[in-house]
Amino acid sequence: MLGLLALAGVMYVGPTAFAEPLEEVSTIVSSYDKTSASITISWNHDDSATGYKVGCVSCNPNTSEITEDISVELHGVTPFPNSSLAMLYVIAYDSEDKIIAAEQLIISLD
Amino acid sequence: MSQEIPPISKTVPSLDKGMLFVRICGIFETMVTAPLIFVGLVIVSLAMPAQASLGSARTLDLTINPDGSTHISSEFTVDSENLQVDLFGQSIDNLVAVDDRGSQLSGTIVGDKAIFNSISSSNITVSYDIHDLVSKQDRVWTFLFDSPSEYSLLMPENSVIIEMSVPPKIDLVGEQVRLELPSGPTQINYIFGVNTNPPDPPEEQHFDLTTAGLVAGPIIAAVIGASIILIKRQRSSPQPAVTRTGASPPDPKTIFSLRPEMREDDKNIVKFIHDSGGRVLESDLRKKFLQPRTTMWRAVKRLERLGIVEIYKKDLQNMVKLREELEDEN
Repeated sequence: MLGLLALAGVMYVGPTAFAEPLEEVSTIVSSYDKTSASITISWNHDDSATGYKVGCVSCNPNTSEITEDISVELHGVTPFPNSSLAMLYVIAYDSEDKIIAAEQLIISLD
Repeated sequence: MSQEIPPISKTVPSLDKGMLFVRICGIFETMVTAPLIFVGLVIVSLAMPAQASLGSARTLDLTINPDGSTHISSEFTVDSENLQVDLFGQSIDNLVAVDDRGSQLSGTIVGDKAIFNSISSSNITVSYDIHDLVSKQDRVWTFLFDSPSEYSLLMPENSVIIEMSVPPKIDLVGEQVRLELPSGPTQINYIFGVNTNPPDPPEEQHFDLTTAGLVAGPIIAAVIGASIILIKRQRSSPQPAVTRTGASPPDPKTIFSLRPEMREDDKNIVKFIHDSGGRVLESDLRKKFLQPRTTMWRAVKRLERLGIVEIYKKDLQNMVKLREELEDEN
């Protein structure tokens, strides 16, 4: 019972939850010529994430880049056929190369 | 100088003979193959009406569930009393066919086909769950499907597509991605993102005794109440026997003590079945533990071999039930 009481106290006054990996992802379309675009993607820093993979699945063929930074600029991003929507993703890996977070990004290039 | 040059006329007659022979062979082959082609055309023409009497799918909609199973729904236009549907695999659950009045039709599964009889409506909707289209390796799930027609595919919520073989049209349904895909083979690899919109934390934490009392008070009252009830029950009821012969299955603790070799993940399955009233559908186990069909099936069969559960069919689904009697192996 004392344990439960202690747990209740910890739950209440426990530390504030900080941002998770890839909780804050932002994108900027720097150029788009109706065929392909250049997009800068950036995300929040997280100590548990040591590497990131960023890819484009609307591109044909699919493309991807690996980085240790918290932002990357993708060139030659193409939207889906007859559409201005591009589909990207960001995956965060830990030091053991395990996926700890992933985000799908659907971006209007117009 | 004395070398003899063969006259051209020596070779020409043999060529003529050869050409003549070839022509005879061609005629002979034509005489043999022409009737075969004719018979083949007759067979095809006879088969055509039978195929036409089968239903033709007007729509095909797929939904991938979080556990990797895929829900398939297809509308058929039927011009006969029977409908034969090609299923996209052999591990089928929850097969249902309804006509446009909402009446459910009876049907049977034969191999990878479903046959529905006594149809009085021209529009039939057939739906089922299938476990053959999605596989999983590590954290990557792979959807692999060779479709006979165009179709829509609704991805699971919180899934992240990381690879697609065919660029489709795309649509958003709430937070889910719906893809319009062409006929032919498609491969989609996806994972599940772990961010699930956590609630915004308060800007500042305050701690005062009044609020703490409001939070801890009900918890303390609940713990005290539960303790009293538990003590009363323990005093009033006898200790459970190691080997149960009653109507209810043994509790997980007893099962684990009798089967110490059980795997930890299997123990969680047993706990879940017990907490669900002693029986649960295999499909619910997959949904609960997010396991592919084959993985869960192996786990369930392991439990069956240990004599912990029994498996039986209920409405074309696998029901997993904790055995009421568990024998001590020692």
